[in-house]
Amino acid sequence: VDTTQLLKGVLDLAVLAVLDGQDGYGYDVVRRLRAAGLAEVGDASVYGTLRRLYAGGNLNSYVVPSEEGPHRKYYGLNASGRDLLERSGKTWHGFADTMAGLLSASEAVA
Amino acid sequence: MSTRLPEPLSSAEYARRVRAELGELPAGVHEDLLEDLDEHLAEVAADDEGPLEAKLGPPIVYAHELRRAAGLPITTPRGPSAVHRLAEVGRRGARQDATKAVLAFLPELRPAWWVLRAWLAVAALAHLTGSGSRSYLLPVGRLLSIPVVAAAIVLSVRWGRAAQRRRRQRGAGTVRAGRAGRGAAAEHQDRVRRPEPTQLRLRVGRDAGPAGRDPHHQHLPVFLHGAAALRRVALRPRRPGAGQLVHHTTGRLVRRTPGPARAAAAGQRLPPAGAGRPQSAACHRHTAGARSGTVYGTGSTWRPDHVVILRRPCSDHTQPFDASRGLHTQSQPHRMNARMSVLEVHGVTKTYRRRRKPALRALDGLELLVEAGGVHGFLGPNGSGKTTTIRVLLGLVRADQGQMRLFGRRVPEELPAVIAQVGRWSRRRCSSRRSPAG
Repeated sequence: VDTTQLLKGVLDLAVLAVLDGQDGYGYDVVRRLRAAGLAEVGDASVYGTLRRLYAGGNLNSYVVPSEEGPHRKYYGLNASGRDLLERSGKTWHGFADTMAGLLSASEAVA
Repeated sequence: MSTRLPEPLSSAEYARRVRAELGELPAGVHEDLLEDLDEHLAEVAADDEGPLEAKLGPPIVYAHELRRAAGLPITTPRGPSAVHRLAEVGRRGARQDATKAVLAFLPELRPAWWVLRAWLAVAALAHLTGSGSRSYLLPVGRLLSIPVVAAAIVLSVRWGRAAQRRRRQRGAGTVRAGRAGRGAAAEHQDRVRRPEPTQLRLRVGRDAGPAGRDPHHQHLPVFLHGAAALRRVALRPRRPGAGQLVHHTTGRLVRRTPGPARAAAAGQRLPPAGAGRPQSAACHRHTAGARSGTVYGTGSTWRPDHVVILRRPCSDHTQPFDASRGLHTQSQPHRMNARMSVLEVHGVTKTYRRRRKPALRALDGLELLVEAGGVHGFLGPNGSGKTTTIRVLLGLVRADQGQMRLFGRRVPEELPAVIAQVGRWSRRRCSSRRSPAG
C-alpha cells in the first residue's frame, strides 16, 4: 500500500486531530505529525491543508510575536473544526473497521 | 577548472519562487494561500542546518504540492514552455512603472473598442454585401449609416458590458470557490461592484477568543466602502438603546440610534436588518470629507452595539490633541467604572517612513477605549489608521509612542499573555460570512 496516497486522504483528519489537543503554528504541526509517526508528511501538504481548513472556516488563527524569529501564526480548532473532526473521525473509524473486517475474513480463509 | 555550485536559496528567495510559481492564481486566492509563507519557511529554515531545497524539494514542486493540498486546480510542474517564457517577459515588463501604467490604463479603453468594433463590423458587412459607401466614416449608404451604426454600437456596448460582468463574476467565483451560498455570492458581487473595499471586523470583549463560543457574536461583517467610509451606518441594536455612535476621541455619544431602538423599547417589531433608515454618522470635522462612502450590512449579521469612528490623522490639524477630552472624562464616569476595559489606547502615534515619499503619519495621538461586552464596529475612511491600530495592538507594528493595554495587560510587553484571547480577521478572510476568526 502506498502510504503517501493514504496520507493524502486523511491529512485533513490528521491535522485536525493534532490541533484538537493544542493550537500550533505551521511547522509545529508538521513536527507533531512526524513525531506521531507520519514521517512522510510533506511540509507543503500540511501548510496547504492548514490554509484550506482555515479558508473553509474550520480553524481560528492568531499571531504570536516571537523574539527569536518571525511571528508565528497559530491555528486552533473552532466549533466548526471540532464538528468536522468528529464527523471525519467517525467516517475513519467506520472505514478502518470495514477494512479490518475484510482483512480478518481474508486471513481466516487463508 | 572548477565548477561553482549554485548558492542555496534563502527562505525569502524560496518563498518568492513559490509565489512566482503560483502567480497565475487570482490575487485574492494567492494572497490568502500564501499569507504567512515567508514566516513559515523561515521557521523551516531555522529548524536545522541545510539548504531549504534539500528539505522541501525545488520551489516548483513545493508550489505544486501546496496547490494540491489547498484544493486548487492542479497544473503539472514542468519546465518553462515558450508560452511561459513569453509570459515571464510580459511580467518583467509589467514590473516597469511605465508599462504598469499603460497596462492599467488599457481596460479604460474598452468602451472605445466597443464602439470601434461595431463600426468595423458594419463596415465589413457592408463591404461583403457590396453596399459599402466611399466614406470611411459612414460605411453604408448615408441614409442608413447613422441608424445602422448606432444600433451596432448599442449592441456592441451591451455585449461588452455583459461580458465585463461575466468576467468579474467569474473572478469572484474563483475566489469564492467552495463557498457556495446565495448570500456569499451576492456579497461578493457587492465587492465587485464597489472596488477596493476596506473591510475589517473587530471583535473585542469577554468572549473575544476563538469563534464559536457565542453564537450571537459570530460573523459580524463590517463593510466599509471605498476611500470614504462613512456616510451612512445602518445600525440594528440588539437591545433597546444599544446602538450608539461613539466618538473615538471624546468618547461621547454622537447620536443614539433612532427609530429601531425606540421601537424595540416600545415592544414594537424591529424592521428587517438592512431595511431601516440609515443613520448619519458625521461626527467629526475630519470625517466631513468622507461622506460619499457607504457602510452597509448584509442581512441580519450586522448588529454592532457600538461603532467607533476613526478619523484620518490630519497634518494641518491646527488644534493640538487635548487628552483631557479623551475617554477619561467626567462625562461618562459610570461607564468607565462599571465595566472592564478590554482595550485601552492612550496617545499612540505611528509614522511610517517611506522610500522616496514623505513620511506617513498613520496614527496621531490615538485615544481609544473599548469596554467589555458587546460588538464594536471599528470604522473610518481609508487611511484613517484602522489597520495600523489593530497591527499595533497585536504587536505586528511598533508604535512610536503611547501606551496600550489589552485585557489590562501592557502591549506589546505582555502581549503573549493575552494574545490567545484575541481573534483577528484579515481583510480577505472577512469578506466571507463563513470565514473564521483569524
